[in-house]
Amino acid sequence: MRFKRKTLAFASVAVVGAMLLAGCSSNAKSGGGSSSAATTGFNAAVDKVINPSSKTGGTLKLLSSSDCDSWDPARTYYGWCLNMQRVFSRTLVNYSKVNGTKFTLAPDLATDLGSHNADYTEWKYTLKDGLKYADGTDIKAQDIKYAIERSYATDVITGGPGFYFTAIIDAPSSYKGPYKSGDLPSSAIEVSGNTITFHLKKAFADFNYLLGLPTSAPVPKAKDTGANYTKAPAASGPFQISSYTPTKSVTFTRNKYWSQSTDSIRKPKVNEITLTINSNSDDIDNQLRTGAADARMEQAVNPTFQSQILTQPKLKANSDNPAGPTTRYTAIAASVAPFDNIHCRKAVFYAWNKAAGLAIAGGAAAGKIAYSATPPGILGYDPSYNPYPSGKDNTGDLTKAKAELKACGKPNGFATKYAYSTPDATNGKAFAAVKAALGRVGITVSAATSSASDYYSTFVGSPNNVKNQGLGLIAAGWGADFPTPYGMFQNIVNGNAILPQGNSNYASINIPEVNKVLDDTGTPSTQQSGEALNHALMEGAQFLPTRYAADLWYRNPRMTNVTSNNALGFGAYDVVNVGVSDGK
Amino acid sequence: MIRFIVSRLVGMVLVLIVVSLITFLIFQAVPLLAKSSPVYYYIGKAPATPELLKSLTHRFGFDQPLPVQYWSYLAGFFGKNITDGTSAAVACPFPCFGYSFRRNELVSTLIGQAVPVTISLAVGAALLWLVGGLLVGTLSGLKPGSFIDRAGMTGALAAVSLPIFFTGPVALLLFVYTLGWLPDNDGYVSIFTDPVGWFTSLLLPWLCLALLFAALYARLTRSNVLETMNEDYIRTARAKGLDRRTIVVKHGLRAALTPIVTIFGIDIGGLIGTTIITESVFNLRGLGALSIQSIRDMDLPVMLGVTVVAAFALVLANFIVDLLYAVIDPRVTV
Repeated sequence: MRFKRKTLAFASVAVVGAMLLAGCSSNAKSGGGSSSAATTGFNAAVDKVINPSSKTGGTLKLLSSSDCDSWDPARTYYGWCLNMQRVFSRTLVNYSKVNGTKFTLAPDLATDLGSHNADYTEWKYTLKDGLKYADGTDIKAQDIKYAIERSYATDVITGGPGFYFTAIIDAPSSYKGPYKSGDLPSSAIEVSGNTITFHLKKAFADFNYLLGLPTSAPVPKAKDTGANYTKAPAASGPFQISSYTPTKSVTFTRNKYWSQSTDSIRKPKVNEITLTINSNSDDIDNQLRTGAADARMEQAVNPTFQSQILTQPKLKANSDNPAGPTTRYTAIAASVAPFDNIHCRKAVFYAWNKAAGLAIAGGAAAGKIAYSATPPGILGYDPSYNPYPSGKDNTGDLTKAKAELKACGKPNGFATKYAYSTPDATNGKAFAAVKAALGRVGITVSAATSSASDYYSTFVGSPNNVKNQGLGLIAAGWGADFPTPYGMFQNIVNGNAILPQGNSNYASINIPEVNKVLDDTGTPSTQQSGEALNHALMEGAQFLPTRYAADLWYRNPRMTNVTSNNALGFGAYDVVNVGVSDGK
Repeated sequence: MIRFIVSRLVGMVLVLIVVSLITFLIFQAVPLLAKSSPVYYYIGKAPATPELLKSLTHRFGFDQPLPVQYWSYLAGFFGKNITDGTSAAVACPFPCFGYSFRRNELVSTLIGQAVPVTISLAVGAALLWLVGGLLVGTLSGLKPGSFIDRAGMTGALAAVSLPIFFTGPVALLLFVYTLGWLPDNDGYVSIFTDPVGWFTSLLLPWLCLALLFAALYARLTRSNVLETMNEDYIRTARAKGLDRRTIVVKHGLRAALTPIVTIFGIDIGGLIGTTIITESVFNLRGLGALSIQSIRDMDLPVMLGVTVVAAFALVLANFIVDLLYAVIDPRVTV
C-alpha cells in the first residue's frame, strides 16, 4: 500500500485530489469523542461533526470508481480503504477524533492505551470483555497476535503497511509467518489470557499509532483463508460484509454481536451500507449531485463537478475542502549535477513559482502554498516558518535565485530534467509552469515522463535510475501513513532507509540531523522534535514543498453525524457513524 | 551506381510520403469518419463543453479541409510555432513532430531522449545476433548432421522458443541478483557520461534480444549455406582446386548472405519503436517504452511522432540494405 498510497497522493495533484491515500481512522463522533456539533455549510464538517442526529435505520449509499486494493485488513493500504476498514474492523486502539488537524487516539478493543516499559520496547494491552465477531465467537488476544503474524508471510499477505510492525517486533529473522513458520515465539508477542504484550527490538514511543492501522485487527485463525481472506474478512466492528462482488459492489449489514457497550468510538446509525463500484467517475458525481447517492469514497469530486460546487452556493453548502497531512513537493536529487551544489538547489527554491503551481492544481480548493515540509496535522508544522521566501505573491524571488546561481558557479543557469507521471494532464501543465519559472533565471528544464503505473516504482523509485537519467527535479507527493513525523517522513527522507528499488526517498535525501530525529523512535514525538526535523530538512534544500494538498468532497444533505477523516482519510467522510435523516 | 543510389533515395522519399499520408489518415482522418474528433486524442479526453471542442478543433486546424490539414502536417515537420497547454508560444524547430499537450513538451524532445536508448539497444543486439547467428548457422551448414549442427540447431530452436519476458527476468535474476556479475543499473546509462556503465547496462538486454534473433539467423544461414554449398559453381570451384577457405568465404557465404542481409535490414529497422518488451523488462526508456506510454496516455502527437520515426528507421535500414545488396550482388544495380 505504500506505493499505491504515494501514487494516489501524486495523482491528486490535480484538483481532483484524486485518490486518497491515507487511511484508516476513526471517527469524529456522533456521540462520543470529538468536537462539538455544528450546523451544515461549506467546510462545516472539516473540524466538526455536523447534522447531529440520533435517528437510526436506512441505508447509506456510497460510491467508488474502483474497488479496494484489498478488504483484508492486513493487506489494504489505499487511504480510502483504511477508512472503510473502520466500518467492520476494530483494533486495539483507534482514533476518537479524526477531524481538524489534531487527532486523538483512544482504546478500541483494548481497555486503555496500553502500558509500556521505560524504554518503549514492551507494550502491554488488555482486551475488553464481551468482544465478539459477527459469527458470535469471541475475539481473543491470540487473534491479534495471529493478525500480526500474517504480516510476516510476505509471499501471501502482500501489500499493506505490515512492514511497520515487522521492522520493530522482536521476531526471529527466520520467521516467515504462520503458514510456513507456525506461531511467533512469545519472546516477540506474548499472549496470556486476554492480555497481549508486544516485545520490540527497537524502542517505539508512538507504537499506538501503528496499532491504529487495521493491520492489527483480529483475525481468527480458523477463518483465515490466506490470500482469499479479502473475500470474507471476519468482522469485529459494528458492520459485517454480507455480500461482496469484486469490482462491482460491497454490502455491509449490521453485526448483531457487536456491542455498543464495548465501543466508545463508533456509534453506528444506519442498518446497511452499500458501496457500489462504478468505473464512470463523472456518473458518480452526477449521482451525488442528484442525491441518488450519499458520498464517494475513493477520491474527491472531479473538476467539472468541483467547479459547479464552487460556483453554486446551494451545492457549496454541502461540501468540504479539508487539508489532511499531505505535502506536494519536488525532490531535488543531489546525485544529478549540478544539484550536488547546494547553491544550485537553492536557486531552484527561490526561482520556483508556487503561486502558478497552486493555480494549475485548481486554486484554493487544491490546498495552500507550503513554505516548509511539515504539513498541518503533523507535529512540527509551523505556518510562520518560511526559509526560502519567494516574494509576497509567491511567484519567486529572482534576485536571490540569481545570487545563488552565481554562488553555485552557474551564473547563466544550467539544464536539468523534471520528472513527472502521465497521463494526468495537470502534471504536464505543472511542468510547463516549472519550465517557465526556472527559465526566468536561465535554468532550462526538459520533461522526463513515465506512466503513473511505474513512476514511483522504477522511474523515480530507483536511485540508480534517477542518477542515470539525470532526473534532477522529481515531482512527488506524500500523505502521512499515520499522523506523526515518523509516519509522514520516515519513508521519504530518512537517509538510513534508502532502498535500491521501490525507494520512496526519491532524491536519496540523507541529512544526519533529519535521520537522527526519525531514528530516535524511543522518544515520543513533540512539536519541538518535529520542528527540528522540519528545519534540518529545509536547510538541506532537497525537499522543495509546494503545496499542502486539499480536496473537495461532497456530502448528501441527508447524511447526519458527518465529519471529515483528516487523520488518515485525507478528508474523506468518516462513514461508520453516519446516519440518514430520512431513514431510507 | 550513382543512378542506383539516386533512384533508391527517391523511392525512399516516396515511401516516407506514403507513410506520412497513411499515418495522417489513420490518426487524424479516421476519427472524423467515426464521427469522433482527433481533438480527443490530442488532449487525451473529451473536451468539457461543445464550445471548447469547437475552439480546440479550430486551434489544431481540424476544421480545415483534409488536403490542407495534410499539407500543414507535412510542412510543419520543417518547423512551426505551437501554442502550448498554457497558451505560451513554443518554437518547434526541424524535425518537428508536434507537441504533446499531455506532457507539455515537444515530441521531438521526447523522441530525442528515447532514440539513443533504442539505437544503443538495437545496434548492439544486432551485432551480437548477426555474429552469433552467422557463426552457428555457417558451421552447422558446412557440417550438416554433425554434433555442432545438432547442438547449434537444438539451441537455436530453444532460443527462438523463449520469449524475452522469460529470458530477461531469468538473466537478471541469475547475473545481477544472484551471481552479482553485473551491476543493477536499473535503466539506461548514457555512453557519454559512463561508457562502462553504458556497456554493462545494455549487456543483458543485448544478449536476450540477440538470443531470439540469432536463433532465427542461425537457421536461415544454415539452410542458405547448405543450399549454396550444393550449387554447381561450388562443385566447380572445388574441382578447380581452390582451397576450402576461399570456397566457403568468397563463393559460398557471399551468395548465402544475400537473403540474410535483406532480412537483417528489415529486422534492425523494425526494432526501432518495437522493442517494447525488452525495454520494459530492463527498464530502458526508449522508443518502445515511449510508444506504449503514449498509447496508454492516448497521446496522439507522440504516437504519430514515434510511428513516423519508426517508419523512417525501417525505410532507412532498407535503403542501406539496398546499398549493401549492390555491393554483395552487383547485378541489382543493373
